[in-house]
Amino acid sequence: MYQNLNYLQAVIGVIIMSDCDNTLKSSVAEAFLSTASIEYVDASVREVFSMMYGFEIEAIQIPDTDQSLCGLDERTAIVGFSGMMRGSFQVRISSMAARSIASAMLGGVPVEENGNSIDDTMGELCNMIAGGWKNGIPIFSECTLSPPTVISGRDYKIHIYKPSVELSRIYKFDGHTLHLTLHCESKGPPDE
Amino acid sequence: MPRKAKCLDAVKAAASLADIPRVFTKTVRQNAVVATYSGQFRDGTSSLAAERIETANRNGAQGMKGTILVVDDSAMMRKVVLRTLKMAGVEFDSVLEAGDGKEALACLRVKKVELIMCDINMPTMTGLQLLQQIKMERLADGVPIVMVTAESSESQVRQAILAGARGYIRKPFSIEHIVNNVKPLLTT
Repeated sequence: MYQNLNYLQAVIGVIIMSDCDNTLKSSVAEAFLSTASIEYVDASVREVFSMMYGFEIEAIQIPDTDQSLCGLDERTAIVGFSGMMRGSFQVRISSMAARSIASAMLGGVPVEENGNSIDDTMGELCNMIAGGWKNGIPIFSECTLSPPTVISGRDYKIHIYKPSVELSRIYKFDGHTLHLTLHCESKGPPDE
Repeated sequence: MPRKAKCLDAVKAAASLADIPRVFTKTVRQNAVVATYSGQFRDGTSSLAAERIETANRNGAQGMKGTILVVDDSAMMRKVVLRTLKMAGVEFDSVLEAGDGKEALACLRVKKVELIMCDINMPTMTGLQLLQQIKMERLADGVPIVMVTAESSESQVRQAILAGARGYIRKPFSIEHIVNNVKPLLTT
């Protein structure tokens, strides 16, 4: 009976923790989707683009049907978050835009079309914007960032296995378009 | 005074009266234009920093003896750090670059450096792990180490300082950040 009681306590403990975990994740998801969060994303994007590249950039709205960039010639950079918030931060732009940014980063020096510099630039772009955003929100500031991953082309699909919420923003700079997509885990695994 | 120099002085005096911030003489160097005008199109403090840097450069306040080590897994970011240091008036005799903590340790075991600029998030060995190893092996006693990173949570900053960092610059950064956070470390 003593063993059964311990087992029961353990099960109750797990249920309570699971509920707390889900409640916490819901609070995190709310903070993630809040107006302040969106403002911090926009501010971080503006800060990176003005300080590192010297570009003006602004958030825009475009129809879902018109959200392709330049056919297959796209670059996507992704960093992951872990800690209080778990999720990912993706930046997607055309290769031409990435090349323009890489050149600006080096003070206007021309950059090779398919060089490593462009992927490198993409990774740093995503890293800086993600870092600036999460550092602006107190409950996210202690989350850690993964090293960035860069994908060329657009013939891929990212699968999010856990329930998550999404935040998307689109920006315009120097005649180019930048797509930002953030995912945040919203609750624990569904009951089986 | 040679006639050309008198002429230039007169032009600069007239420019100053007309509130023209800068006069370039041919041959115009790209860096000089970028340093002056990249700040003019942002906020006032950045353009002020650009002016201050130009003044420092004219006064010859650059040219450090010795070696700098820049550690970042991004080759682009290493170039940006070196370029921004140069624009801030900080140049070294020689430059070492490392893509992660392990490479940085290999450099430090064979060459003495005068400044280390280091990222935190790197594969193989992070910046914080590198600092701990540097301290343990006494590879850079008295050398200023400045972290340059997108991570700036309070705990990360605290860990870096405890591990031996003397400065912390968050990415993205400007010339002004280098002037305020790196230059003072080189004069002490």
